[in-house]
Amino acid sequence: MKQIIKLYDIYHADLFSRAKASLLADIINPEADTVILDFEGITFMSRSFTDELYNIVIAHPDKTFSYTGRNDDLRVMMEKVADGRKRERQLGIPPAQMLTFDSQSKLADFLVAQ
Amino acid sequence: MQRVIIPNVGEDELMGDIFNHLIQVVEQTRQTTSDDTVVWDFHEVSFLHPFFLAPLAIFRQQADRDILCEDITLQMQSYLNGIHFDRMLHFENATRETAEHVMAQYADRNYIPLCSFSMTDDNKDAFCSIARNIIVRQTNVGAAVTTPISYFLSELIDNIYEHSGSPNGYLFSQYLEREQCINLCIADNGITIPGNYKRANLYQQEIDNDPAAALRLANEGRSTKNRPETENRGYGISTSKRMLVEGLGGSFFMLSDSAFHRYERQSLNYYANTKNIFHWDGTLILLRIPVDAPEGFNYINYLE
Repeated sequence: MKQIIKLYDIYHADLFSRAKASLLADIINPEADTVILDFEGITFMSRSFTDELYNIVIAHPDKTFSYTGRNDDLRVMMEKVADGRKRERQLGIPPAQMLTFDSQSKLADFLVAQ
Repeated sequence: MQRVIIPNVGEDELMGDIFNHLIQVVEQTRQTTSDDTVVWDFHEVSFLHPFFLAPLAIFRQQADRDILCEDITLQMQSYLNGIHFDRMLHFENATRETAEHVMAQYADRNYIPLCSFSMTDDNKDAFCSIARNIIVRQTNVGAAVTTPISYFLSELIDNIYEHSGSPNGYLFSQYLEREQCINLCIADNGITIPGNYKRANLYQQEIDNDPAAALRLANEGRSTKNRPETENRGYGISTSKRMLVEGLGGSFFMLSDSAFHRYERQSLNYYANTKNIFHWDGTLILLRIPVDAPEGFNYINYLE
């Protein structure tokens, strides 16, 4: 059995939050062997939403998921999240100073004209 | 009655000076005795930078007593009324249509007024979407900047929902045309970033009672909610910050509990512990977002 889920009808054009993504788990029909997520009309999907969507997909190994109507940004976001799950995270952290201030005057002097 | 002088904080003031002004006003207000009426005296004010004004309003909203505002020029009073300085616009489970209708009146202004919004699933997402649409309409930014704005709003507001325990979020946005920048403030009155690590009992050795170390961990992407088998979370702040500062040439400021963090360029990137001299109830994030993306900028290059 095939199930088509039109995301725009549930979320409008923006897929923002992780919690909203988790709602999909309740929408997926347990009887379906193929789930088609239709992204037509979706203009933005956050990384958090995408990550939670990924969780839902891997939690249903018995189903085949396919995606239609994705723009390039959505497709790349999904690829980035999937790729991130397959490798150790590389933190690209720029070097930063660690400072401690024990008086307001020292903090004020530090902040002036900065 | 005790008076606290509100300084003029001009459009050209640097972030350090703006924060200095904020600390002075907050500390002077806190030092007044609790049974005394506090008056904020605006007689020096002809302009208030959005990065001073928004935290000031949030502080006043959270204060456990009345703070009166006096000696305000007519022009400034008109502006303060417009941005809802006295009484923030509050969105609590409003229908999307109602919220859109309320916010539509700001589409031809250069600000989104001070707003508080309840942290329910539907409400915060609808508010986030509507706020983004208004900012885009006000500034006519192209697609290259629209998507990063969506990214910043969605990830930072979702962080409040996921980690702060705050019942409400706060947002204020002001487009400064001369600077060609959007000044965006997102805040909460939750348990703070150090408080979140403490609640989860994670990274306590690395933090070692230094709130600045907690901010650094959060900014590096150390989430309290990773899945057991993978580091799948914690990308929101780190990616937003790199996209904003390294990609768009903007600036980032974060204040939480007794620490703050600034990242404006490679040479201005630090975490500061102010444990014994200044604290903030909740978390405050200020983003300075240029409306024109540098040539070749593509937000995808900053996705991890």
